Amino acid sequence: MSVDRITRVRIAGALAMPLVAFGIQRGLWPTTQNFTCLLFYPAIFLSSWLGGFFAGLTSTVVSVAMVWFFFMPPEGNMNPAHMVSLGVFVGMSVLVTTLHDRLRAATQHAAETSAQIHRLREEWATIVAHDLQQPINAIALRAGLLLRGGSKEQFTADVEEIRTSAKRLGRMVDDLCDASLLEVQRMRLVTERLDLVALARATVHRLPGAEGRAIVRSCAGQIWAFADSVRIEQIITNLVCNAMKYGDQDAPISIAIEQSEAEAHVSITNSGQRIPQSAIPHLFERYARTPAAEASGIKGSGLGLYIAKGLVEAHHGRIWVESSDSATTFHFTLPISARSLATGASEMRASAETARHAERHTGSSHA
Amino acid sequence: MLQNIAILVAEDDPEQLRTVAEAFERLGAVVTRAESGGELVEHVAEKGPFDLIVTDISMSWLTGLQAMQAARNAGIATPTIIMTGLKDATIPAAVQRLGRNVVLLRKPFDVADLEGAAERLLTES
Repeated sequence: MSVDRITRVRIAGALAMPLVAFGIQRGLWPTTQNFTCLLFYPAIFLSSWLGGFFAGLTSTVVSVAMVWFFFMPPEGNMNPAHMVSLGVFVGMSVLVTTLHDRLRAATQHAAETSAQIHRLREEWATIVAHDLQQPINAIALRAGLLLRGGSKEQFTADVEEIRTSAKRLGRMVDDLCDASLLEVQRMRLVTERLDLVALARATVHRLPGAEGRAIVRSCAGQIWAFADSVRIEQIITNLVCNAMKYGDQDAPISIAIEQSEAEAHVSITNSGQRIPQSAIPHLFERYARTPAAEASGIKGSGLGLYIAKGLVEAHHGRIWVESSDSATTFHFTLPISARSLATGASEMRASAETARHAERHTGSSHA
Repeated sequence: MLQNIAILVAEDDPEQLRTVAEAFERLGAVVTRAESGGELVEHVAEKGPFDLIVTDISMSWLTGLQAMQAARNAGIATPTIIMTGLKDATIPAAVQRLGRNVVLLRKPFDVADLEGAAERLLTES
């Protein structure tokens, strides 16, 4: 039976519950006359458990109508106890329906988390098995060559290669740790008021091969942001490295920094081939590499843009890319004050909550 | 030692290629380097024959296994070392399909493993 069909059957079953309760209560009515809502309580419990929030509410309305028309005494004979009984029934029904909805959401969240952990474990296994083996293998081979002895030049070359491989291994481990922290939203930021222009210039100065090629431009001498300087340097490094790797060889890279009322805006542009439109939605995903990047033979973990996006979003900023036939620009925004950081956080929480809510109800109607 | 033995090394990771090629060169071999599966096939066609082919599996566009299968289909029966860091359970069977004169070397390995595998294959051939 397909998932859609199972859902339809569950919802039909849920909506049938008040009718079943009605049938049984009609049969037992001579002995249960003092309890007008008696069998409708389990009906609502089962209905909301089977069919979810809207089925539970619909069943509540249907049950109230049935109780009102078939089990309540005529209006003249109605006493306050009848009204209280009906009011308690409505209150309990809404409560049970809401609790079932929350329980369902929590169960779904737990299942999604479990699936995510499973996926992460598989990804880790693949990465540890392959990518991390590369520098480890280089170190093992070079160490073996060192033990065999050789000329002074060979000794120096082996030690240098071991050092390079160890650094590469360190970077890969750092990236994997950052990606994992971002995945479970456990990245801790040490935010402060900082000058983005100075930070970008210092980053370019520290990045091998970037000085002279990456030019920081800004219409103001200083542009302030409220952010974690180490992580912003990491974002700029990732984006500039990307531009150096995949842009036109030796072509200049522009780092433009501007400020609007609410946010600081950094854009990093390189000349080079257009990124295909079909690749753009996947560019910031884990281990995403465009076919052109794969074909180029340039090594990349596929985590750089994922980490950049995660770090920008941890600051409650936005990141996006624009690519034309001749140039590609990566943009990101950052809050300019502690207040805008807090506003961004609440906006993002609200939008995430809305998305989760929409997903849940879409999910429950399509699951 | 592998004095004057002609070896083709294919690996798309520059660091690995450099290291494996230098290891063979220090053992006395004459090494030709290929940076992709496509280059492996090209070099086999244009710069062969080789006494030994050493290739990684995981390379973009044409994997080491695909490139070697293409070489085998063209009648090239050169002894081969397949290197890999992958743990895929289907790899041993795929390596076996390339013939008896093929050794699977799992990363990380030592120079002694590389040398031992090369000498064994060359002695058997």
